[in-house]
Amino acid sequence: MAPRSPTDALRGSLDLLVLKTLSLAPTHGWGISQHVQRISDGVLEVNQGSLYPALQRLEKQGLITSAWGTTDHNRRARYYRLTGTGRRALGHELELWRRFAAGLEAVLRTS
Amino acid sequence: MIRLEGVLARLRLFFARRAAESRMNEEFRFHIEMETEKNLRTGMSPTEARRRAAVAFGGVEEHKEDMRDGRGLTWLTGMSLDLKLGFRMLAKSPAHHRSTLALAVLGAVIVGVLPALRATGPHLRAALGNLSGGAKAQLGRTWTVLIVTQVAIAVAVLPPAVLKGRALIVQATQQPGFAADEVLAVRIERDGDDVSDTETPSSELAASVRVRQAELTARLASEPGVVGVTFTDVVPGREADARIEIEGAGTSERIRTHRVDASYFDLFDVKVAAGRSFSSGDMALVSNRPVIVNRSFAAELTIGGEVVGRRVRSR
Repeated sequence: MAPRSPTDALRGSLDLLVLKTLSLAPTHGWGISQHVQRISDGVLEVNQGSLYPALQRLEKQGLITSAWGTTDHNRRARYYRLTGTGRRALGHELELWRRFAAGLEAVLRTS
Repeated sequence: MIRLEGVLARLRLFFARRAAESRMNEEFRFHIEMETEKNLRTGMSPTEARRRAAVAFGGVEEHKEDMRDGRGLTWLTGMSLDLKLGFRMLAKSPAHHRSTLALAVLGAVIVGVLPALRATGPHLRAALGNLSGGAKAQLGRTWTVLIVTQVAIAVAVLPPAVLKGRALIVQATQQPGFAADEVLAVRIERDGDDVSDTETPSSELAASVRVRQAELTARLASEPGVVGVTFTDVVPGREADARIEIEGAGTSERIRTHRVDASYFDLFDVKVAAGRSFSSGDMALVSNRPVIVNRSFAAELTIGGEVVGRRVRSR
């Protein structure tokens, strides 16, 4: 089997990463991609263009909301913010992910 | 009652698609610029920084399509574009006109003439010949009436259909002379008011209309993305013909007229070459209303002398 890159492993977890990032502070799309890359020491790299369809989908689901704002360098940018529904969804997704990761870890620990 | 909610709904629908496209473009541009600046800080040349940022972002059009799919508007945009292109092709070339006409004739032959010939062909005539004399005479008259009626309808309907088709093509392809993509036109009707286009409204009704127009203007102007609001009796380019008498010219002319309000010319950024523009006070007048004419009117109509200050009468 061909080795999978960390980016492949990230696929399907994008919504979770976006929701988690926005739970810390509202930010724009580029800010989300930079946060994920920085916190993961570059291991996780969000496919930048794919981020926006994901943001649109999450906004349509009511998990996040957005509004135009101004950056520290006085640039106009679209800022995304987690909604109450999004915060609850994040809790649910985190619980699912932790169960999945624990199950995976348990299997990998077997000798 | 003016159906304001319907107007607002159309207005929001109109702006929704444009706003979504504009937002998408601006977000993508911001993202790529931020990534470029980040690359520049690492010591890359501007060209390389920009190139790497574009590569990291991926196919812009592909991402746009994903987002349009997410909004569920792709089919609508495609259909609109297909229609627009179709009409443009028709208008650009006389050959297209001819081929369209040929196709229309062919269609008429297939769906009209051939079935008619078949229906009145030898087999049917033979079958009719076997009927008794009275029935034969009766069916003969029926067929004659049917065929004459069919031909009469075809002859009567064809010219208006051709004219209407031509008008639709012209409307869809002509350059209106202003940024039509940025204009939303909505027809407003008032229930219970018996006012025709040619009738001069009473002063009471005119005052009532002005009040409602002011309310509507305020509501529409408060909507995000609305630059301005104006009222006209017809959309530009669809003016009705009217016959007028020009003072001192001793003749009447058929021209296209257009009733507008005071903000009309400002909104379309049209400068008045001579005389003055309309004022809000002009809108309250029910007679002796001021008129603005275009350069063609002044140049082509042989009215003689100065145009500004001349009086015209609508017949």
